[in-house]
Amino acid sequence: MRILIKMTNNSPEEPEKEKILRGENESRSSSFTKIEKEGLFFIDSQKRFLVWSAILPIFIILIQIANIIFLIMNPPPPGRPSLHREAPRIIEILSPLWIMIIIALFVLTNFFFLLRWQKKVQQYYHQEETFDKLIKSSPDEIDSSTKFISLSQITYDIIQHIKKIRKIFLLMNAIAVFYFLWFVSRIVFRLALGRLLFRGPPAQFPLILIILNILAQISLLIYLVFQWKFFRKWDLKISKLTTLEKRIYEELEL
Amino acid sequence: MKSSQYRSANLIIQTILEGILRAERENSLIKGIVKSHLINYCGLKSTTADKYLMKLENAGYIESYNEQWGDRTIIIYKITPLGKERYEWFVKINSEIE
Repeated sequence: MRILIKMTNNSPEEPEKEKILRGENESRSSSFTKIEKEGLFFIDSQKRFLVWSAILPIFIILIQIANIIFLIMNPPPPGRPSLHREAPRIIEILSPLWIMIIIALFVLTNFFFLLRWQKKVQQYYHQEETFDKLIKSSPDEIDSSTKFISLSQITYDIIQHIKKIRKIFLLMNAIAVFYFLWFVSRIVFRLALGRLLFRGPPAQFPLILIILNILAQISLLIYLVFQWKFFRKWDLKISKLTTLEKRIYEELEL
Repeated sequence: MKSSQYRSANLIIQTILEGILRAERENSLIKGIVKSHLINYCGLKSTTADKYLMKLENAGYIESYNEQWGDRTIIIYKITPLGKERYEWFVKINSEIE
């Protein structure tokens, strides 16, 4: 295989190449390394955040599964209907189901994106050698089956993903409010009312499940605050990026 | 103009600029990247690539020069300070508020 190095030996731009060979291209080389480092740092931080975004709601999903199991498996005792042990209404079973579906949708969307994205990031890290081969190969012997992934592609992928999950995130905010109301009406209110009217705690939810639900509420609240901050940063970023994109679009007269 | 239209055009533009910058880092013997290598790196059809390369050159983001390759002439693209600045802006916007 003829390599490009051979070709350049007969080039008319000899003085320029001599400069490069003397190491005067060092600034060019290191500048891309610096830019790349910044880009990879950004990708790493996004990756960490997305991993946490996927893991945390799994806990909330597990609590909802426990809620549903408990509601279905613990009907009121047979015989005279008890005022403080009513059979769960369909809406009460559907509520944790809705909460679970929306949160699971958010988690799964993030998770599958992460899987695909991670593959691309790995490909970017490992394509150095292939890229080196490409630029040193003869222009007649290019292997067009080799697909490259650029830092720009990885960045734009996450931008597209954020735009999509932002919509699901709004649904998740609504469901968080619904979860809070459901929790208050189903557990807290009945617990208080049961104690007040029947002088004893209603046996519908065991204490451990109540505590886990409270923990789930707190973690969901913290999670939402972090997500809001995350999306707020992204709004700023996307608005700056759009300004740059418009400028480039105009400069190129596309 | 929709922002998605800017975005798809800008993805191509940034990938081209990145390809040239990467080649300049990897290949210390020539300044720039051979056109066919660049098209392969960006994964573009040659007609699309020609359109963008021409626009980038007209805007002063990149420059081209010819090299002899045996009997034929090949085109080599290199990035200008303006092109490099635009790519740097793109990376900085993404990383500055982390």
